[in-house]
Amino acid sequence: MLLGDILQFALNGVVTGCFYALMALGLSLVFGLMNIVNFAHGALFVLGGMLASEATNRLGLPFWAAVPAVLLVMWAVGVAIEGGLLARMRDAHILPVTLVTIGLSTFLVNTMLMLFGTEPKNVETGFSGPPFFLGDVIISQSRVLAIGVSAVAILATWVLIAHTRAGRAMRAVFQQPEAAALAGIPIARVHRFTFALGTTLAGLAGILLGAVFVVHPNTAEPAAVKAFVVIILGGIGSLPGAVLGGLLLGLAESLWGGFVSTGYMDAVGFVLVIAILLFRPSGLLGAPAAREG
Amino acid sequence: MLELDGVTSGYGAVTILQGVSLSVGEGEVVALLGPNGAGKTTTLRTISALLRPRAGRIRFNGQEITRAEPDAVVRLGLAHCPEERKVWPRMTVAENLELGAYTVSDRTAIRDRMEEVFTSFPVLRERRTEYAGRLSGGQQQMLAVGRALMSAPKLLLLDEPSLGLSPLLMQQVAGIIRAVHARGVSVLLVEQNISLALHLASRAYVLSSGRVVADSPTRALRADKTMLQAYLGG
Repeated sequence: MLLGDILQFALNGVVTGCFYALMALGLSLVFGLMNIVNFAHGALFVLGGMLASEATNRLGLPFWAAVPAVLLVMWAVGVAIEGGLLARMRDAHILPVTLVTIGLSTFLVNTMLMLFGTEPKNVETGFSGPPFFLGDVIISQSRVLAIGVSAVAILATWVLIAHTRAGRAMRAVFQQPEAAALAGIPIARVHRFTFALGTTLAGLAGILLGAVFVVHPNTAEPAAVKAFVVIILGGIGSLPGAVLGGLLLGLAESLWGGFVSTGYMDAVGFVLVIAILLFRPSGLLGAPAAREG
Repeated sequence: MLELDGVTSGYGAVTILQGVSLSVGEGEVVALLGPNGAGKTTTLRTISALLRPRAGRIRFNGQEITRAEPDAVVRLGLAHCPEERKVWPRMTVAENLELGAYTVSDRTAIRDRMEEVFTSFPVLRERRTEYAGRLSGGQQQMLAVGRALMSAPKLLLLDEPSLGLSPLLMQQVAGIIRAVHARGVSVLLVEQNISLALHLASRAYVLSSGRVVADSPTRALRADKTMLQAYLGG
């Protein structure tokens, strides 16, 4: 029975961990590569869920049509934010940029409250059939879907960054911008592409959250903070670290909530971060600060 | 091939170049000399469009590039090997070279050029799968020069290629510059090592406080060191 409980909580933790991993992966691109402390990341995450909820519930689109449509909108939102706000501040200090993302977050959250109302929203997947039983462990179809889609998205992002010309250009721009410009890489386009990709990944995490649980604009800011916890845990700048950190946080919260107390669940991540940073100051998979050049 | 006409440029509120005019002819190696802070690096950065001139005009291969973007300048056939190497530390040697040919879409051409770079610098072939950040300073310098050659430039801007190199490696880099020149590539060379620069270049400009104060064949400068000493304070 106890073993069954552990497995059940662990599985729940993996589902939550997938949301965290996707969000953190997007934030890691924006923060780890672009050095933008994006507090609006949580609001973009919620926006993905809200748009998917509207698309599936109000417009009645099937899930498989709604997801690409919402992702396309998220991409456009990312392009607009980068082009309209961040590109104008590319050489600015990190603090004014951070203030702008905080303002953007407030703006997005309140706009969503105005447009979509204050009720929590769910995303209709059509996967409402009976859950799967694996021994004592139960998993709903929508959770299997969330894990599957997350895995595909994480893998696709990794292939893009590690093995394509666009990914190489991204790494080049953020490792050594001047050399990238001199190699003829269009810097402005790479910034826009990277931010749009981060925004889209956040949106996808929101869609999946809405498919399994519910989304609500008021969760935007706590979600952003959690995504920061995850990338610090995994090691800033490390994309595998973001994924590992996300899964770890999901597991830790779920096991803590299941066996100890749900009251302190949100504190688990912070305790974990403090503990890990004590022993590994650059996070789980982060490269120790090294001389470059 | 390259012509600067009254170029004024700088950073923020600071103006560094005060109306620089110079030219590099087809197949020519030209040195740009001057004391620290004279504006040598700023000149190169303005030519390759990292900085936008505030006044004056820049023409390359008959085209106006005064307001061009850096990638457009690369596509026209200008490569700039920057100061302090600036290789991508967390990318492999091969990735660094491939990215040097970012504007080239012909895969075979890229492979052939990488082969040429490996022939010039065999140590890069040996270490092709290693992170560039793990190479020694001299090897990073070779990588930076190799990367600049990957776009098959018509004009190569070199900023302090001998910096941090041992005398032996310096000779090797000098050999590469001669080989590049022999292939018909023009070179604009910024170099602290005056005797190296005077031997490689046929003509030299001396820059002081953002102005061109001398333009002379290097033969004359080699023969009469006093003029150079007057400008360079050495």
